[in-house]
Amino acid sequence: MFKGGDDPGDNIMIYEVDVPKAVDLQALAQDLRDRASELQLDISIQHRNIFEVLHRI
Amino acid sequence: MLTQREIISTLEMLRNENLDVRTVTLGLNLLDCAGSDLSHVRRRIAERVMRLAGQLVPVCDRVGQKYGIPVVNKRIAVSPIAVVGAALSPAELVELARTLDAAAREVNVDFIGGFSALVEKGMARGDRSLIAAIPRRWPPPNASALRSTWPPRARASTWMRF
Repeated sequence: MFKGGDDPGDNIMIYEVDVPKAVDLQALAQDLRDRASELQLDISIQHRNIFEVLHRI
Repeated sequence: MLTQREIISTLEMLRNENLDVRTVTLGLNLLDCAGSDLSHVRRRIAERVMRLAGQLVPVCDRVGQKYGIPVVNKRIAVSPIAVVGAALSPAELVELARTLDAAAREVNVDFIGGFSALVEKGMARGDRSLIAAIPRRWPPPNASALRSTWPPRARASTWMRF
């Protein structure tokens, strides 16, 4: 678990991942949330397009 | 390539500013369900709502899951019931409201709207009947049409437009 930086309790790690179409997104999101909870982390999962439409013209 | 600033800004919108899709509304034309036989009208309306709106909630949930942006409310807007039920009495219109509520629950939407009358240019018989039907109770017994207008306390509410 990443605990570096100037404030080890306040870090953000960003991953861009490709998810195959065959993967059940609901199950994947739940698995990731469960794992994050075990690690005492918050996780946020969004489609790449969300970031793009909010910031690109 | 997304920049770190863009990503953090988006996360702030999601976390702190409640970025979401507030409502998805499916509009249903019920005008051809009109008639003077209450049971016939009820059956046609129920069938129409179930057939066309049955996948609304699952699709909204699937899209919300795909993009990571929740769809908070899913609702149905139907043709003004004062027109669809123009030939019905106030008591029969209450039964129609029950049908709408039951259909909304069946397809699991948060709202169904359209138990309404367009009266800005005057009132016809159906409009008067609908307004007369409003004070009458339908399940849930403690919710009148106007009270259930806003916000979505019940899973399925009939909201009004005047």
